[in-house]
Amino acid sequence: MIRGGFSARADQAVADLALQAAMDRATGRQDSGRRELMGELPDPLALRGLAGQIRDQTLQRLDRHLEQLAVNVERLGGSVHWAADGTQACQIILGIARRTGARRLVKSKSMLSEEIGLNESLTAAGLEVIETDLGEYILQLAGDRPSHIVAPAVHMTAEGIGRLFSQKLRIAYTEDPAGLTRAARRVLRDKFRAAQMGISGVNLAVAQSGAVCIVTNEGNGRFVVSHPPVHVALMGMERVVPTMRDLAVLLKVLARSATGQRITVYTGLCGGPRRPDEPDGPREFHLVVVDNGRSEILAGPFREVLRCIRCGACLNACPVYRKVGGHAYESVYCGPMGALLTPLLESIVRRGDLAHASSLCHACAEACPVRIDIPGLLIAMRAELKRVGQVSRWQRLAVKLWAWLNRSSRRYHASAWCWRVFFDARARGGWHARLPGPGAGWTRQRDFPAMAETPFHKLWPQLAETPRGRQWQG
Amino acid sequence: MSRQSFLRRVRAALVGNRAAPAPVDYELARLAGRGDLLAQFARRAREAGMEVHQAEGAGPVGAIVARIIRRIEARRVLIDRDGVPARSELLAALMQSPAEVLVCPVGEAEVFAADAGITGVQWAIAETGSVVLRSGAGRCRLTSLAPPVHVAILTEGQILPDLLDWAVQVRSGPHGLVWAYEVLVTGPSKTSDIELNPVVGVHGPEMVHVVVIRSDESD
Repeated sequence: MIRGGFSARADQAVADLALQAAMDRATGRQDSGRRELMGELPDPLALRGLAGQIRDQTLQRLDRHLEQLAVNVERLGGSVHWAADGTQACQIILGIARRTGARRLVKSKSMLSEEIGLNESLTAAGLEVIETDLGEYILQLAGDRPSHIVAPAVHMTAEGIGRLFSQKLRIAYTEDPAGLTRAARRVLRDKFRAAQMGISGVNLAVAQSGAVCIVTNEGNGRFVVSHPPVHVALMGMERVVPTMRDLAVLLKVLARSATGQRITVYTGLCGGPRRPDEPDGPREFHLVVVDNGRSEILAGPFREVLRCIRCGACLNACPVYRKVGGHAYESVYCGPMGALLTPLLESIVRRGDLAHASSLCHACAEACPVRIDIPGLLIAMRAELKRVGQVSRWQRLAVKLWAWLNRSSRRYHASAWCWRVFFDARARGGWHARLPGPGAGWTRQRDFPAMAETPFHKLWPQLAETPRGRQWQG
Repeated sequence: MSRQSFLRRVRAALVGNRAAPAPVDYELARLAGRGDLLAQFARRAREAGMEVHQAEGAGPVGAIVARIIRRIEARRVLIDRDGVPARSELLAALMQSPAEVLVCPVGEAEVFAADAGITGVQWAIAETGSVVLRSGAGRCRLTSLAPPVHVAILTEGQILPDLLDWAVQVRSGPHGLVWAYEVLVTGPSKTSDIELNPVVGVHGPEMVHVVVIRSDESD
């Protein structure tokens, strides 16, 4: 049917019971946290609408906001660099490291840095790059990849992390999360102190003031932007808002949607390098603004996806993601937003199968704090797949036939009758244990129901006369 | 790539695709109004895991902080040179305690060896229970970050109702922002990265005490 490996990887993930338990626990907690904290708001829908409006209007004038941002960053003594793609961005950062003589780098979480392969680039040039976000640090030690955009090591067990730490950090084995965290704190403290350059992501940049906002819970983000003499902030070009008030609105929905907190423990604003009278802070501040395919998305029908503030709410709500986890998407960006962003950033032809990693249940749309119409965009992507020839001939014919049969009431009833009489004859006790052809995919996991004895359209004339039936008709 | 070329690509992507912006009703996002800001702040700050103490005026501040220092058995205490209210009362009380008192800025080794850091704040925010710290002369970023315990001292008048009120305070002067760093601190550092198990005390402090100096009736 649709080319691509998602189905196979999803099958593997579903069979992995340890992964199932981990995903269930992690996403369940974060999703209920979101519901609770968003539910606390007097009008969550209005606030999400406002946040969506702000993001949308920002995108409409993105060039002006980026220009204003750059002017203001430079006014504060910072430097702004522009990267057309990931390769340029890596070269720019490598250039800054070379010029400042930085060999020991510390990083706080940046999905964009993973998108562009920054760590590999810097390591290949002989630089030491240490991830300081606990989940990312764990993955770095394990040589593994993130499976969630907010809690990247969620697929790992405490026992697994315990074994990893005892092996790599040469400490006594413990699976106690507090003990493991303390061990990481000790190691990373030394790294913070020795670091010559800190690289951070940017949650949102404020054009009006030239400040970049970085939100964290652990405190590593604060060290990374404050202690090393050079701070490089890596930013996707769409991650900007016009004013501080716009930032405030988005902050009100970001942490609630991501982790069920009113606000993250640390919400930091970095406005350029240290001022002459300040005793600490970086001496150099660099903002690297990256395109890497975003301007193409901006120009096209999928522009709305650029509203995304990477909260992860759609992941935690998605029944598909909650079953298969992030690795099945084989991308930096997973879950519903990843199903859109990955084909758009890489290639619709090669990665478009992700648009089918969905039952269009709309849980993601209800969770999204900036009201991206993810299901609508997934459907548009499926249409795009057909347009570029990714849908097989017989599938196109099958859908044409189905549409033809259902467009006329007479043909619909006739085909339903045929199905009931000829096909449902095979059903036992009202269920098909096995469907032929492509239907076998369904019945591998569950039975398929036979049609009802009396179809609804025959029951309706009587139902319509009942009090309930009258109520339905309004 | 040059700024010009970069922005040209963005502009090209937006050709024929711009709608006139509709006015943004920011007040729709307001979550905290007037009313008892101190009570709101204290409640939210406690919910975020901070300990909130109230001092009736500057006088008791020293005793409150000295009690905290004794309780955590701190041997070395860091205090910012500037921006700390009730500073003289505080230093007087601390000099009486067994702890060694260092005034920022100090060397890196001292910062990382300190058991507690004492700072003032720029603002507090009732909506979220946050304290807002700002960089500046005589104020060290690490005082509130490196030691395992952070004590923040503020006056009641510094409490703003809502994040929206904080936002309008972040204003640029004629040469842009006059400070390099501002951070909203809402609780001790924490993580849930290991099996979604919450652990308090990661890279930042594991304990945050907030001391609010209540204003006089006459204020």
